[in-house]
This record gives sequence, C-alpha cells and structure tokens, in this order.
Amino acid sequence: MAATGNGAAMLAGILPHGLISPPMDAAVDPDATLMLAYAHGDLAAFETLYARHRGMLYRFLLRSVRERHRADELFQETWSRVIAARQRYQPQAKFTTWLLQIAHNLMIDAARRQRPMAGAEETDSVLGSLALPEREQPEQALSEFERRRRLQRAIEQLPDEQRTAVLLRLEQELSLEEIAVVTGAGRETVKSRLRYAMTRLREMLSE
Amino acid sequence: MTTHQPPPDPDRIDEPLPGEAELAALYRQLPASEPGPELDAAVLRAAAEALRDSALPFERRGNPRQSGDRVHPQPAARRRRQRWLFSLSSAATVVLAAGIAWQVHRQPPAEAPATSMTLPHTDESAQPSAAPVAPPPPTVTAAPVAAAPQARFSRAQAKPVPLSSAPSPSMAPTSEAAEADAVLAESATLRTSTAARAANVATPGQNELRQIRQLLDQGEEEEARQRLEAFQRAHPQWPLPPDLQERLRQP
Repeated sequence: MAATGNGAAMLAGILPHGLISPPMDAAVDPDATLMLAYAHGDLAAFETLYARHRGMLYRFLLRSVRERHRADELFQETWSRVIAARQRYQPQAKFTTWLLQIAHNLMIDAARRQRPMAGAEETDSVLGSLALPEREQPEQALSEFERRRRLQRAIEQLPDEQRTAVLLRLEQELSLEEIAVVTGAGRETVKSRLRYAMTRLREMLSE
Repeated sequence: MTTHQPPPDPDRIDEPLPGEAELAALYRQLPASEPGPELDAAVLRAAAEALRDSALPFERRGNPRQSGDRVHPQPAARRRRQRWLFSLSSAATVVLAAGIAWQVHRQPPAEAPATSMTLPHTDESAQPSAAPVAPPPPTVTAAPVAAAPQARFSRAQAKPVPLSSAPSPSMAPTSEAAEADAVLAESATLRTSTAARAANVATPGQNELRQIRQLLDQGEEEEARQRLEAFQRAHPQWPLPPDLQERLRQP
C-alpha cells in the first residue's frame, strides 16, 4: 500500500466527482487493473470487479443507512458513478478506497437531502428504550446470537461519523489513513472516532 | 458470489485499538447481507449499456482502416442516399457525353472530298470481307448529287471510326437516335456542298466568257477575239453563246 504520509500532503490526484486519493501503483492493485480493462471495453472485467466488491459495499451502505431501500439506491448510484467515471479513472488510489469514497459521499449527500440523522439525545433515548428489557435480565447469559444482535444494534446507534469509521475499520479493515481519505477527515480525528466508537460498542455488549 | 476481503496491509502501522480484535471477530459473524438479483442485473446492464454507448466516439476516418478500428456502420438511409446520388451523376454523365458526341457529329466536314474519302472506309468496316466487291466510289464530278443518297445510306449503316468508341453500350438507344439525326443533317450539308462544288467546276469557263464579254464592252475587241478563239480551241465541245458567236464573226 502506497498510502503513506498525512492528510492532503499525501494526495496525489483528484479523481472524478472531486474525489481525491493517495498515489497508488496499479500493478499492486488487481482491482485497478480490472477497472482499466473495463474502461477499454472489457465487460467481463467489470463483472469480476463487481463480484469482488458487491457484498462489502452493500453491507457498508446497509449498516450505515439502516434502511434497505435507501441502501439499494445508494448501491446502484455508487456503481453508476463508477461506470460513468471509467474513462477518467486513474489508478492512483486503491480501488476499494475509491469505491467507498464514492459511496460515502453519496451517503452524506442523501442524508443532507433527507431528514437529519438522529442526534445523540435521540439515540440515547432509543437505546434506552430498547436496552431496558435486557438490562432487566442481567442473569441471562447472552448467546452468540444475542451478542451479534447487540453489536448490530449498537453499531446502528452510533453517531454517523463514528459508525462510518467503525464500519470501514471492521468491514474493510482499512487503515487510519485510508479511512481518513474516504471520509475526508484527518488521521487523528479518525483515530479518536474509532476509540470512542469501540468503547461504546464494548460497553453495550457488556451491559 | 464471494465477498472480497482485502488482506491486511503489511505497511499498516496502526496499532490495534483496545478491544478491536474481539469486536472484529464478532463483527465477522454478522449476517452477510448482499444485494438482490434485481440490483445485480441493473448494475451489470448499466455497465454493458455504457460500453455500447461509448463505442460511438471510437470511429476513425481519414486513415487507412486497421484491424481493431471500430467504425460505425452507416445508417441505411445514408447508404440509400449515396446510391441515388451515384445513379444521378452517372445518368448526367451519359447525357453530357451523348450531347457532345452529337454536336461533334453534326459539324460539317472540313473538306468536301473528305466525304468521298470516308465512304469506302465506312463501307469496308460495315461489310464483311467476304462480301462482294463494292462498285468504285463515285467521283465528285461525275455524280455529285446522285451520290448523296448512297452516302447517306452507307453512313447510316456504319459508324464513323472516330466516334465509334465514344458512346457507351448503356446509351445505345440515345446514340442511335442522335446519329440518325446527325446523318440527316449531314446529308443536307452534303447536298449543298456538292451543288456548290458543281458550280465551282463550271466557273472557270463561265468566268472566261464573262471576262471576254467585259473586254468587248470595254472596246478591247482584238484581245477579246483572241481569247475567244483560244477558248474555242481549248473547248471545242463548249457551245458558244450566240452573242459571242456574232461578235466573233464580226471583222
């Protein structure tokens, strides 16, 4: 991975839709090679690329917006942007980073157009109402199924920036720099968001 | 459909956050939601359509075609229009060539004897070699006017050599009609020129007689008498006009 450096200083190019990315050697990213092949007319290359990333992208969107129809719309729009940008695509960034960056920006735009996300107070209220019955049964041993359900719910209730950072970290295993590139935040900000988010998740799981 | 999980970056210098490993292990046990088949089909269809649409700007023109070039097939309407223009231009060319041939053919011969010179040639070219020998060509002085119909007939049967290659087979009907008109026009010209030639042949004797009369009118009777006697010796078969015979008998 060639994403070294910090913040804007490591950005080597501006990608379509105003996306910026760190320099990336296309030879080490097979996804970038597939994308270039598709840009030259190879539809099979796109099908391979799509098969490799459809699941992770969809989960990232679904767990971020928490509504399937919105996730479907964002998923389709993200790939439409990829298709439209094929002629201008330059493998200066890891394809996954570029793809998630498109999806994240679309998600932010959609959230701005729609109702604002739930605030911290509303989240606490919802969290309290949902968690109360379980807290009334502390003696119940949580099964693995229940732990997964709690984790899913806890992720959904995180603030947007923290939830995005956690999803990019846990789902995509992105580095702090990569998360910073996707979200447009600084590396230390990303690190702080991850610390708060993971602490919150652990608390909710141990409750 | 498999889910791509990028391998951990070996250059990643991030230290694991507190409790990250436990959360990551539990996160990986969450149900793996995936897009529905309709969504997959919509995305793949959009990718294919984009490639089809982007094929248009790849047309290359002006250079020799090479393998791998993507050239648009011309619309059917455009091909039909080009065929129509080609046919129209071809017809216009044929009409122009026929008009020029007709005009060239209508021009009168530069010299009157040329007509009698071309007649044997056209007769030979029109008749096979095994045909009976044609009668000798009429001389201009012997039968100037009577030869015209035969010349017209001969020329109508055989095309002139210089123009034989001018009309194309496709314009045969037009060419024959034009040639028939040209033959009629030329025969009229021939008749006129032949009559003029006949008049020119008689002119020397008449001129001499006219000059003799002028000498008599001018009072040069002696000279006129001498020229009249010389004329009579040179042309004994020529009957002298009565007035000149009377002058010749006068002392």
